[in-house]
Amino acid sequence: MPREVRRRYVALRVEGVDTVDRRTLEGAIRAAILALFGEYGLSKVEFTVIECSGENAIVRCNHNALQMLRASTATITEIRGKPAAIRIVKVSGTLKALRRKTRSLFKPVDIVKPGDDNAVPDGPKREGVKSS
Amino acid sequence: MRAYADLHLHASTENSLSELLGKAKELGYRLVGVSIPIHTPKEERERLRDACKRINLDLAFRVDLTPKSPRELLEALRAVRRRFELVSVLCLSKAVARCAARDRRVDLLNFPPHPRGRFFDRSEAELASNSLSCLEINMNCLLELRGASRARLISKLRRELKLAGKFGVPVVLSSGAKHPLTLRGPREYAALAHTLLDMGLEDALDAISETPKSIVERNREKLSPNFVAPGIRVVKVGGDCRGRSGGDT
Repeated sequence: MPREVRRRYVALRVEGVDTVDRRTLEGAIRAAILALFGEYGLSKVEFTVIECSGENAIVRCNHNALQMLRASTATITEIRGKPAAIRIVKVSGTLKALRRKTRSLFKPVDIVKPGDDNAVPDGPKREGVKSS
Repeated sequence: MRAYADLHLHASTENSLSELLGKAKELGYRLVGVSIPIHTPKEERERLRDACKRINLDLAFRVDLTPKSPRELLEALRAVRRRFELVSVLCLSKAVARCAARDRRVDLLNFPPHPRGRFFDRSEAELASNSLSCLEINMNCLLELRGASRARLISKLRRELKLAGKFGVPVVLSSGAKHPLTLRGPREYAALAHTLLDMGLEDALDAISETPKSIVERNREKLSPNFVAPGIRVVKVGGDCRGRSGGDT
């Protein structure tokens, strides 16, 4: 049976700043989407920052709005007042596959649960997904 | 797999240029066009070419002409066409834009970022469709501008792309990057063109891979010493040509 909502998991790398926290990254992406596509666009993208460690992050979005997310992240030219760029490293349909593909990039992975700003040092413990 | 190309990189210093080339390679570009001054010495060019060869990146030299009048443009074209793989003209007036669109020696038609300075209209598109020039869109303008000015530029670009499509003028998406942090990946530029400029995703990807590649290949063929005319080239020179082909020896 097909799923109602299909997602895309996007691995990002932030350049120009040493580390970026989840709130800052989320704010930067949200502002970029709002500037380009407005509130309607933001509602379509439905993005969430799933993980954030150092300069790497994993963001989830609606699969129909992947190009909107790509375009929006490309327009980010500064973070916290410093020149920066967000690169999309990999895109995958499942979090597990994305972790497998980006294993070398996200080591060690610090998980930040939505709504929690404190990073948990160990790997992810999500239902149905083995930690890589 | 597509071979992505960015035909517009330019840096002020050699250090920043090497950083830019390294970043372009990292982001997945296989061919880059570097804008250099007209009188760049040959040794400098060779050094750049060697540096690119080391990182397995194909380099094409490009010259950006900014003529003030059609006469100035024609003189500049006469001087540079046989020395550069890519010739781009920044059209600052309508007369220059018309002349550049008509001339077969011009590869890329470039316009200033502010919407009032863009002269790509119906007549321009018609002229460009009969020559070999392509419409170049510098994606960096979309990143630099903000708010209403960006909205105006997007609307103008959308109109230009529609005209280019109608008249069959090829479109090239270039970065126009001066610093590694202002350079984006090819898929990001394609996504920008797809979402903001109403280009089909495949067309946008072609505009950053196939179209630029074909321009460089066409010009390299023309610049090669074996080139005679389009479709005709010297295959072999020497006494044994008759014996092999004719059989009348």
